[in-house]
Amino acid sequence: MSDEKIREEAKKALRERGLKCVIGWSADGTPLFAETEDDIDRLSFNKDCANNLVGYLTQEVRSQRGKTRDGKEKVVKPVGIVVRGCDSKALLLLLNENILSRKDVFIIGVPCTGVEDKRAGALYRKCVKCAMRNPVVYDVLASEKVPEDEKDYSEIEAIENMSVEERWEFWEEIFADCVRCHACKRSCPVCYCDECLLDPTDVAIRPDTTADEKAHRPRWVERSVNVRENLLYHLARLPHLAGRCVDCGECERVCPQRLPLRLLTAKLEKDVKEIFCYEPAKEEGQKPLIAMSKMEDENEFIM
Amino acid sequence: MSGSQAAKGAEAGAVPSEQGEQGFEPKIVAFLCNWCSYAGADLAGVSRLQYPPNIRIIRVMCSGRISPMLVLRALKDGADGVLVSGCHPGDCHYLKGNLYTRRQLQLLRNMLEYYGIEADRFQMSWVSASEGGKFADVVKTAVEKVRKLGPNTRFKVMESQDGGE
Repeated sequence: MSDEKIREEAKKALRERGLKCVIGWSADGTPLFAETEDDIDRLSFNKDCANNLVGYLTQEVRSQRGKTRDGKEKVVKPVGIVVRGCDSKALLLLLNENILSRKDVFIIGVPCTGVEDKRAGALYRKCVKCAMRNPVVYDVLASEKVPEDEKDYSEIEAIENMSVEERWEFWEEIFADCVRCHACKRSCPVCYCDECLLDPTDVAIRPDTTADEKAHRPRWVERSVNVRENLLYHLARLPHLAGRCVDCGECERVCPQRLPLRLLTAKLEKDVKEIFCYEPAKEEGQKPLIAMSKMEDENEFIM
Repeated sequence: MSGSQAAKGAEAGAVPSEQGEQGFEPKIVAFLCNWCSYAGADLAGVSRLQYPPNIRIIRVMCSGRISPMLVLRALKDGADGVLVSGCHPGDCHYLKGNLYTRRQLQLLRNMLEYYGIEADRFQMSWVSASEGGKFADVVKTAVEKVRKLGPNTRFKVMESQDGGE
């Protein structure tokens, strides 16, 4: 039902708006970049479509940017994408941060009732109780909106109630298993920096980068995989996601060690909501939390 | 053994302020902004105000320059505490630097606590250039709080578990 609608709208947009491609899922849940009408006939949305495709969208749009040889701005062909509720939040955040412009994307929204973890044969934990089942930004909607749940912070509160020592041991045990594949940050739709300070190998090397520059690059987190560095890595990711993480759960989904990374980001989201009454990607044109300041922000913790 | 005790006694004598149970002296990295807090610390010195010698001061141009990474790195590298100090809200030389940093670092402080690192290891204060007395008080309070917590072993313990790097 919604498959037909997705294909119909995608074809229409491909013809009328001259899309470069439409990014969506095929029936088995793998990402599909549909460039022709034949490809579009393979687009689908079902319980297996778990990937957040917004990261691909950023790549597709950004790779077209730049200047031609005679110094003119290259023409960016708009890119189509199929998004669920959580993906659309990430997309809206990128639009708000001016990483993407609204005219460069064509958005087909699909209300979603949860996607399944193939490895476990059950719904992902983020999908059991979800407060963002309906897309917040879209050009067309592929099916009727579905009811949403209240956000559930009970797991976070359980950790908050532990003692400081217990909490440290809790995280120590979790991150002892981390292999530092960096999949969490690679897959994160809102981590779009070309160079990441958490990954010492991730240096943008230009032809004029000298050996000296490479050698003296600050290393905030060492490459070695041990508990100490793992803990620092996961802690250091958080300030970068403050007021930006939309809790799409992609980091947790892609983790090969199945670490419960959302326990960290959800806490961040909860704090941001409680302290600053701010919800990332709530509306179009919203300013980033960290790029704003108020004289009357909480001052109590400061001597 | 008696020798080491005597050495400890001599060390204790050198520091007039009251000692913790194990004679633990915390090391605190203090990031002070150039325009207010650093001048405040200078005033404290010029006015000959006494404050514990446990802080290692790093001057930065604005408290807005303090990235959460600096705080984390200091804690990781063995500092027992971190103190960030800047101008009072509204007095920032660059108008809003301290307000931005307040937002970001408050979230960091909460996350540290959630992560199992005592929130008091990271402290912030507003000290203006004329508040030498306040600076001395801030350092005293900060050192007392960290002394109560004991050494920062969070990242050290694991190093020995992993057999070093």
